[in-house]
Amino acid sequence: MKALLYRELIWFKRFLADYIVSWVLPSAISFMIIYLPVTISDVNVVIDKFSSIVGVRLDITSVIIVTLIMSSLIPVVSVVINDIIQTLFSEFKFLEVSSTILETTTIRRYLLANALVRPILMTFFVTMYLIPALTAVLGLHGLVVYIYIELALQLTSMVLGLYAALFAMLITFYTNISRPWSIANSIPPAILAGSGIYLQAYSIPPILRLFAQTTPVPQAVELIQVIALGMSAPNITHFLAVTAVLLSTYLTLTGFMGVKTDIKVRK
Amino acid sequence: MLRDMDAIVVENLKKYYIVREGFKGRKVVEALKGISFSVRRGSIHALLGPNGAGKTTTIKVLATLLLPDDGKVLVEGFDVVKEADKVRKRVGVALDVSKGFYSSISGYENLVFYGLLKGMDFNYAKRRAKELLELVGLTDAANRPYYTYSLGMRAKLAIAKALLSDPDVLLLDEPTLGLDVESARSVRNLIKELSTSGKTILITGHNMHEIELLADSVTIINNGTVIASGTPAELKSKLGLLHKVNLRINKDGEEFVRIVKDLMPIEGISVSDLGDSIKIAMYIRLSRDELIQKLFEFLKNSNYRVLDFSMEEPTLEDAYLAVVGGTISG
Ligand SMILES: Nc1ncnc2c1ncn2[C@@H]1O[C@H](COP(=O)(O)OP(=O)(O)OP(=O)(O)O)[C@@H](O)[C@H]1O
Ligand SMILES: [Mg+2]
Repeated sequence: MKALLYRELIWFKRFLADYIVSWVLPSAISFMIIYLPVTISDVNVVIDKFSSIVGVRLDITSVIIVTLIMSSLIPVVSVVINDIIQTLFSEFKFLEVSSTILETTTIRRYLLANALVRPILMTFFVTMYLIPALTAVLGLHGLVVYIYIELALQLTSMVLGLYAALFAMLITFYTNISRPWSIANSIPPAILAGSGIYLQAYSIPPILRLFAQTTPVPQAVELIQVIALGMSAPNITHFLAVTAVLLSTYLTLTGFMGVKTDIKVRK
Repeated sequence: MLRDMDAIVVENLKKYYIVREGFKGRKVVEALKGISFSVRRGSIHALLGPNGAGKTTTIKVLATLLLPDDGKVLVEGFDVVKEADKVRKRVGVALDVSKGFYSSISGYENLVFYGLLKGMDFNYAKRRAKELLELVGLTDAANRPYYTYSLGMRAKLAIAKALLSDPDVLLLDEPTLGLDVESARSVRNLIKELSTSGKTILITGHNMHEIELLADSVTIINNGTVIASGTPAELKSKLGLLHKVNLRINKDGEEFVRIVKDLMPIEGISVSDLGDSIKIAMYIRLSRDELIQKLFEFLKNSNYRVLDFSMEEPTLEDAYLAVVGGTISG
């Protein structure tokens, strides 16, 4: 755990520019995707569109808040999934540090630590912009909203981390795929689309929704909308229940697969 | 129990690799076909053998990087399969010294990361990393990214990594590969010192001269089986290799040769008259002990006066070539 934290910080220092590009840019782009309609069409059209996604008539502040927060979800999902898959892959396939890892620890421990440490840090960095943004729009109450959102996103990203770890293991150790990013890049959009972030979920093909429904992202989306709409005591039990179930499922699965993989790698 | 003396015990170790050939083809490579050896605590043991003999594979099994397919392997009394965690805590490994680090971060950062992975606390890891960089002479390059290191610098960093957690057992696969003369020598000295301070060291290499200087005992493997083992001296004498004896006596060369030929298995002899004395050079196929005993007994009971005497030992390299190549040099 400590080791991974340290490595993250070192990498962060070393690749500051890269990180800015890979973390901040997605935020900016997703921000634009959501705001793009404003620039080409009437504000009311946009409000209508979002109202239809959310299912409730919104006013302009709510739309801003919902879009602000939604645009943080996009990079959270894509950064976590991409990073976990690509890091494991490159460590074992071309960075040649696998022996360093294998001689000190087990795949299971390494993967679990990676799947939890990285998403927590990344989510924090990716969503940092919400603090000023939300306080600007909502004042002090914005901080409260931020804390809620951050908690929801952190839990979501932990599940996503484990979810990605499973994919990462499959790709790295059980296939001969040499371009993992093509897979890593297609999972997040599927999850996001299936969660109804772009369109209402029922208009999305079931196969894509399957990707989403095996993560807590749809529930997170719902929760975020609810929080953003200013409910003071949002009902979080549904979200928590789904997250808890998925978290324990994936912890067990990753743990189990980790042990199997550890043996396979040392064969 | 005798076993307590041994830091490393390998019994009937087997390891197969399954290699894919083409689309569906599979081939099993028997890298180790049941090797056994043990290493006394605090000693330096060398694994020798030609390329592909299975040395690296053995080291990897000992380091828990590979699971054995059969046999029993203990490090400090712990089983490398069932008690892998305990083994990992106690060994330091330097394998394929040219890689194993994150290339974009510095040597120092790599070491700290490794220390933390091994479960050290942060301050201790930082301190150890600094100490070891100094020990291997990398202080100047400590903060440069790893990809800028030369091969020798990488080798040094790999050794620093192996030593980082102050392990009881060191597994060094060709640790001096790629090092310049001076560095190789300082690494050798370091290995000697570490062994004196009680660490058990298993080393591989192809430089026989170096191994002969270092190793207390040797196991030679070829094609995945042990073909000889013992101390370098034992190996050499067991093989009954040729010793070259140079003598200068005062008289009667011809007769001396006749007597000596009956006494010992002489492979070659040359006599030259120097005027006031006679110089004799002989190649004798006998162990050192036997040779000296026979020769001195004969000289004591004769009336030859020995003016000069020297004896050339076969080297470990001769012994190695004799077992591996099936031929005797010299
Ligand atoms: N990953 C692998 N997959 C398949 N075969 C392997 C693998 N690693 C090693 N081998 C085979 O196992 C045998 C032993 O290899 P090993 O690396 O242990 O030899 P070595 O004694 O270290 O040789 P060298 O002196 O060249 O370093 C060789 O026949 C080699 O081809
Ligand atoms: Mg080797």
